[in-house]
Amino acid sequence: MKRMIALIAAILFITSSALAEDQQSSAIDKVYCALPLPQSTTVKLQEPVALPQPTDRLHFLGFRFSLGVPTGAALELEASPMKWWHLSLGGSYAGLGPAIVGEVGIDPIDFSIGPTLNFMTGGSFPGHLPGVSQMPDVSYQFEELLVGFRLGKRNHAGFFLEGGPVWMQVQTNNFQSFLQSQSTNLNGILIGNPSAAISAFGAGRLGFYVMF
Amino acid sequence: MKTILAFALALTACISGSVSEPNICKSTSIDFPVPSGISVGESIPLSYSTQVDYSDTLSKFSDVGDVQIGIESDRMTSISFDWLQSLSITAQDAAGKMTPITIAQYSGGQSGSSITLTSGSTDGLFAYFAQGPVVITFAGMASSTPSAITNNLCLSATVSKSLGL
Repeated sequence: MKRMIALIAAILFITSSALAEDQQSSAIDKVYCALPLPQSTTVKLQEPVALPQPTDRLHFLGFRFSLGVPTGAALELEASPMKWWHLSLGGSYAGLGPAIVGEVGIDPIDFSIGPTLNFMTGGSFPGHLPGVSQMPDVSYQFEELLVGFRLGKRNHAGFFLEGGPVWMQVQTNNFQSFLQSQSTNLNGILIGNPSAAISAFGAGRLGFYVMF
Repeated sequence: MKTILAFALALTACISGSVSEPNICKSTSIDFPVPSGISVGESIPLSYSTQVDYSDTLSKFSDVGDVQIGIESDRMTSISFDWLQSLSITAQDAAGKMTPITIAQYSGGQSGSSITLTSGSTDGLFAYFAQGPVVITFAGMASSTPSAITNNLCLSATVSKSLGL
């Protein structure tokens, strides 16, 4: 009899527990049903996260140094809005007065060696060769088209060798004073400042650039 | 390949240039002598000559390249030019072997203290000045006693030179 009572009590306990669980489940179902169902029930497994790879980012700023004719030694600050072209602005010195130079160039092929095309222009302040007093002050402007090649990584760092035509305009200053200082007998003649226009396939330069 | 290299070398040797001298100016003070025996109301003949020699300087230019000279301007100043009827400026070699050429001339019509002369031909002008001494002659007519004048003649010169192609 005792065993019978214990069995009934156990069944009642289990049943009441099951009922309690059913009530909780029903309440949760109601909450879930109140929420909008997702459109798709497909569950995507998360893909393995790829490790960050080194990116070939754009190197926007840098500098360019060259030795050439007629620019002499030129150092320019360079900006590269896109990898295949650049703008540069800087200064140069070719033995006369200091000059301001600028250029725009393209480097279209991204190999370790590639062709380049640059248009460069600039102008100098009046000056004369150091140590040479027997010459009038001279200033010049130039435009040159340079074709060549680049050796190195485009938009990173490399060497270049270029050449092409140049158009130069040369002005002299204080020419009359210069002639008088040379004790030239001018016979009362007043002489203006002569100028020269030169075109030649004589422009060229060799240099390197580094972009940061 | 040889052709390409030869062409590239020729290009590198190609150079052309010109030097321009915009103003080579010479001022000359002129006091025309009045010939005797001119009656009142009669036109007075004017004549004044001066000799210049630029041959040494110009020969240096011609050694460099082809030289061309032109007459940039010829301007005269005086108190007044009411008395001047006409004037011409001519150049001739001192030896008198070359045909005179007219550098500039004036045929009246301007007033005030300065006048601008009409430039003459520049053909052969360089040959004139490069060969040796040149006699510049101012000749014309005046309606009354001439005043002293200053003539300012400005020439321009261009020297051209090409090398290579």
